[in-house]
Amino acid sequence: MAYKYCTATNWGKNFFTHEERKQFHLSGHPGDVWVVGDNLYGDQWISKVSGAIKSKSEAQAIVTAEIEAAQAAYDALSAEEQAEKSRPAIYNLP
Amino acid sequence: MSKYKEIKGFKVQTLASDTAASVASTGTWASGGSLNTKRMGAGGAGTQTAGTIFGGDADGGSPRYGLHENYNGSTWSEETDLIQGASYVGGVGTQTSALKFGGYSSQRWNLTELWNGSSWTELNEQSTARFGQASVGQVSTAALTVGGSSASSATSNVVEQWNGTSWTEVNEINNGRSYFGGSGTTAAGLVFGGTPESGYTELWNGNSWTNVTAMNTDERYGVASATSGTSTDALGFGGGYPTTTANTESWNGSTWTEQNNLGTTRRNLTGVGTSSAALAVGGEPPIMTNTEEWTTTPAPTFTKQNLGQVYYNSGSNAFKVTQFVFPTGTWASNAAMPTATTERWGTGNSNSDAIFMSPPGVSMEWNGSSWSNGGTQNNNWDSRSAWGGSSSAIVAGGGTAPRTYVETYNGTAFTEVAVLNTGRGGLPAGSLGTSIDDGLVFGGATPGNVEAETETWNGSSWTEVSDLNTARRGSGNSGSGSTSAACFGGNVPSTNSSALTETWNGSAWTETTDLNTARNAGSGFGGTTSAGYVGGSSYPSLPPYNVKTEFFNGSTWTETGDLANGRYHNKGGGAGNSAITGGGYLASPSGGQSTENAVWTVDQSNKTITVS
Repeated sequence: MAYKYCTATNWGKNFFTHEERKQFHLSGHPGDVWVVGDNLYGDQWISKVSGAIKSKSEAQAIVTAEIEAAQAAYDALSAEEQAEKSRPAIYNLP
Repeated sequence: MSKYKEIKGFKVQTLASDTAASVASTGTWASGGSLNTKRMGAGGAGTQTAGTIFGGDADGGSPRYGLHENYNGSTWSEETDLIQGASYVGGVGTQTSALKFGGYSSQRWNLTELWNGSSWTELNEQSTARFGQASVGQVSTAALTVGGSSASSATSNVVEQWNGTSWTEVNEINNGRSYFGGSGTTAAGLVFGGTPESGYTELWNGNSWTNVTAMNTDERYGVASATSGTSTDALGFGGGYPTTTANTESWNGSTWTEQNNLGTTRRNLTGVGTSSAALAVGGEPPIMTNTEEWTTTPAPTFTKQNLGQVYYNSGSNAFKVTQFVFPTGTWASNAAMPTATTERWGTGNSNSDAIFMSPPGVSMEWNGSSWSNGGTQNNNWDSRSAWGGSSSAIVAGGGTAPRTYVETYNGTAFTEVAVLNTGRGGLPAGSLGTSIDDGLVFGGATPGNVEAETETWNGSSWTEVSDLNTARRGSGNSGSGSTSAACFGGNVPSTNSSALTETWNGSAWTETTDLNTARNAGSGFGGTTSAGYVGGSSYPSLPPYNVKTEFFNGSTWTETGDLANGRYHNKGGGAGNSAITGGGYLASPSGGQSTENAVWTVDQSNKTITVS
């Protein structure tokens, strides 16, 4: 499946709708990164949310930076606090 | 004499919209209003349009939030804070009568607090302070706090029950864990997922816990549940370690089915609502304010539905029938076999009732969630023909000369019964109904030959009947007994792997449509109008081995859901809508023998009836 990548701030209700979820692939990631199915409906959604188009590598860099920041926050916690949580892991976008 | 119904016909129910054949499968997540304060590990209660969450944290520091927000279906509003702020708290009840218990803030807490719609009141404490527990309950006067991280164990199995006044210890869960989901009531509950990373699912009957089918995705640390779900109708979403998931799965009382994903991947989120109308709130990483709303279409007005029911949909002017749509089935991995197996034998009645033979000759019984050792067969041979399940099975032929031995299994021990007329190995793999007093054996191999001979079994003796049109060994088979069977694929010497399919009507074999992919040493399941053939290989057997499943409707084969890993000499069986395949040789490592167990499930759906 082909994807497009963008950043857009989730404003809440109706940012994405049930109908849109049936029309194209959509997955949200750290840093307000969205992976969007590359079809007409996906393009319409990017336009609706004023998404800023990114290349895959640009989107991946944003996600990685966000997770690295979360990892740093985790690493700064005391051992007791760390035991209560799990360290975020970096992953690859589809 | 004609019956009145045959002359006048019968009434067909008229409905304004489709029945809820598979409501969960129609569900999707859409964005909802954002929280005022981002958080993870909050407790939750209520419904999608009258939800409430409390506690949690945003930065890992102490003290944790006591913050409390209510949702009205579109926006969150701040309410009176908890008395003791904490994260990973338990929660049950409604927006106007919610119970919060346990949690973490600098220490594990055993406090219980009740929200009456305007303020929080402290009630009697839990015996065990804990956080990351699963919450089971729909009202504030009856709940279970299950497992979690306690002082004595980070993955406790201790369970306490709340009666509206106090907590009492009850029977422990089988698999201690924390950060997991709960659903149902104190009389019929369900817990699932969590850490140690698992999809383990357990059912509570008011007295004790039973392991049942695990979630499809087994790394479910921090999974959320629709808190007002039931033990037979639940929804689990998100979670995961080390990476998070957006996966959503629905529970129907016996199996988990994958549904549409969350829009945003996350774990340690909070779930609220039911399996048809839920909220996913907050979570991490990073810690977020996002809310998503799960809605099913159509709304489950008609929860009563029966396989085979016919009705008239007045909205769409269409006659419809509720049925299994077999080609929509999928394979899901499940608990691995205790011992790898290949050319022995295996059979099942469904995806929760099967028996496979290990190489040493000790059987392995499958109950839908776990494997246990069964009886030891008397003749420990390869490629025997078998049908039945874990409590009643029959196995015939196989191995070396004379290859005539037949044994029945009663759930405990194997007993030798009347021998075949023609001894042979290389017999079909699959299933042939549930009765061990009725069936047939066909094809196979004797030294230097492949066989076409067919013998029927009446519970006491074997009778030679009409031969297959094409002799073969290593085929797949399906059917219901001595009057209805199908034979497909296999190894035919002159053509090597075969795609030939034949059906048996009790007296003769008839050639019908070929498989799309010729192969041998796969495994069959189902009947003669709802048969499946999965796995197998070309001949000679060189990788890659087959991942394909084909489905036979009585006249044509259609490709459907693949296995995750190709294999041959996999065994199994079951019905067209519920089957199992396991074991076999793997391509990597070369010659490797598999312990993999995959279960096949088909959901019901409503199909329009057309006439031509």
